[in-house]
Amino acid sequence: MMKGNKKKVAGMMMLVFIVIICWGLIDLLPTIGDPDSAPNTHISKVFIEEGPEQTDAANLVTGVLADYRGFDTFLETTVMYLAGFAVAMVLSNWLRKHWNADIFRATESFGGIDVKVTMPFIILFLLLYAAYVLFHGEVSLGGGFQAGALIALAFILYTLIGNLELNTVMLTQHFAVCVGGIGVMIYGVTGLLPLFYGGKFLEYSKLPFYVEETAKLHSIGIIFIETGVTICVMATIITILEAVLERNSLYDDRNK
Amino acid sequence: MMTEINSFLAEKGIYMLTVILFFLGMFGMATCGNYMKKLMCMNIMQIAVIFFFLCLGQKSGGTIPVTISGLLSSDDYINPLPHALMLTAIVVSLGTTGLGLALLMRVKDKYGSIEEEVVIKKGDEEK
Repeated sequence: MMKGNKKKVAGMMMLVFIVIICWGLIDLLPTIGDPDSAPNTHISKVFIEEGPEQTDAANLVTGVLADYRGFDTFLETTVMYLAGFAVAMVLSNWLRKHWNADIFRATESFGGIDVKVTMPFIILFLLLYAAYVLFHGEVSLGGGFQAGALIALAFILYTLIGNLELNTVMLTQHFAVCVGGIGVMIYGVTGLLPLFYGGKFLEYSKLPFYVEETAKLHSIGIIFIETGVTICVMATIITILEAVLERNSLYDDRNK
Repeated sequence: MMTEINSFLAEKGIYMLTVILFFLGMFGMATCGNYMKKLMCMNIMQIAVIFFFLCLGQKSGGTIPVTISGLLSSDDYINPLPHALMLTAIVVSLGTTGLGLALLMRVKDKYGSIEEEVVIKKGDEEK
């Protein structure tokens, strides 16, 4: 009785909120697709018109993400790493003796010869595609976050099938946390390097590599930090997966 | 009349959908008794915010933000800024969801259930 009432009240409140917001704010918001609306003018125009020359990245999103807003992305990567780290901490194994868990891995019943034969091919092509996405991050569609997710997807497939005799991507949970830290470190070191050569944090044009044009240094810097982001995202997803799987039991309420 | 409605929906309609999606998630967070469902509703809310930002980056007549030689005007490409912002937001939401799952597993450890009623009852008993 109480519960039904609660739902009705909450639903009415949400409806009222929707109506108020639609009524009040819809005039303030810009028209969809209007080239002269506030979000599409100001700094956005500068990004589009001067971005390709300044950052040497044909993909404008990567240019904005890794170059103009490099500091922001650095901290986002750190947040990602901290999330993985926190999962490993929260689910650390001091409780496992009470839990009495058998580590859940898919058994033969899910495998079968077809899956075993085809999965290595799919995983290999996934990894190849991930490398393509990573290194094309600045010239066409792609980027570090997506590449990291793809590599993690290969790992998830590997874990799902289980009992595969294929050791392409094997990371245990504690090792994966360290690898995530290494990813963040690559990013940080790329940011710190220009400081020693008279630049600012993440100022790619002061990177100590010899190239003919200064703009090319931006590509090098972007590739470096994208690699760092890829490693961090991959390791974080693997950490979360491993930590959750480790404590997952096939029987739901067995500890009661 | 119909053309007016049509043009209004084409110009502003998508905002209403995102607002509805946002409050659908909020409604779920307020009413669901299961913490797992609350977490899923929080994800729905996040996705509504992401959609909202992506709407702002739209530009009629613009192509994807990858430079094509010969096209240099800023009107030819959609706005890359919301896309760059939301790209990181999506990935971070993945991390926060993972952390939420981990916390739920600890709640399940401690109270034996992730139903709100059971957890509150057990918490009161412990006092």
